[in-house]
Amino acid sequence: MMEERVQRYDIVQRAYHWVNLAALLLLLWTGLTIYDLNLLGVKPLSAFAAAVIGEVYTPLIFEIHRYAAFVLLGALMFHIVYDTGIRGVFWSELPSRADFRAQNITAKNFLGLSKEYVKFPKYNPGQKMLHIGFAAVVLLVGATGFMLSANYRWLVPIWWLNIDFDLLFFWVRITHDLLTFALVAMVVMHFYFAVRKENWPTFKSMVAGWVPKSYQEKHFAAGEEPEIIPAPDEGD
Amino acid sequence: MVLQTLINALYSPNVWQDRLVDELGLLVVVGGVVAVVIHFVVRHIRPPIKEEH
Repeated sequence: MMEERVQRYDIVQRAYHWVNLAALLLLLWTGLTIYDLNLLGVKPLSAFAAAVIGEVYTPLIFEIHRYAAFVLLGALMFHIVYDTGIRGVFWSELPSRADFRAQNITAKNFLGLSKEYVKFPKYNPGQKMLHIGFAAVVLLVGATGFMLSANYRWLVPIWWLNIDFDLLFFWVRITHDLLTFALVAMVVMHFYFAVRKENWPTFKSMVAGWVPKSYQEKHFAAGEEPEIIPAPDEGD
Repeated sequence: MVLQTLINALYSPNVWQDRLVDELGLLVVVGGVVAVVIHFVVRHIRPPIKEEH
């Protein structure tokens, strides 16, 4: 008998997710090469680029960085239009008061202080906060990236602030770089939770689109609100 | 004027030369890695209670 399935992501959402990852990896690779990442005196990415492309690798690396940025930001705009405009998803992606209340129970459960636990709807508040964090960081990294580029600086109109260009450039660059590291940390956390054993079916659903119905019922709330599951009776 | 003064006060080419971004960036990434390691260790010691239901 075929296992009953519940759809979690449609084909467009899955395609967006993986395009996003590809663009981010390209941006990270080229960005850290431009940054000339120095790990205890070793510059692995610059050495790799020099070996593969040649000594004058910067123009090509910049081109890849630029196009990957357009893919990432273009896909982001598509994601916003598709998921809010067409799928009508917006408010459910923001953490609610009920989410935060329920999150306390999850935290107590995690720390072994309570045997109550919570089944959240599609996403838990941690995931929703990470999503907001990704949005903010990607937008800021994108804006600062445009400001660093002579060709696209006009896309971020801040000339009316009348700030000395060198100072602005200095801080824009630091912001761009620091936020990149924040993005790396967020991707590490996202990846860790995605590949944990208990989340494996959810991870697979980002490829196949569905999770088994039994898994859905065991791990997720049936409705739109978090479901608080009382502690099992002692001796059960 | 105020903004310019503030930025002047914060502006130091040495910050960049000292690779402060490297240090802070590393700290941010290490922070993320430490967070997931803590989660992993706690979960390893005590698996999720919901599995008992």
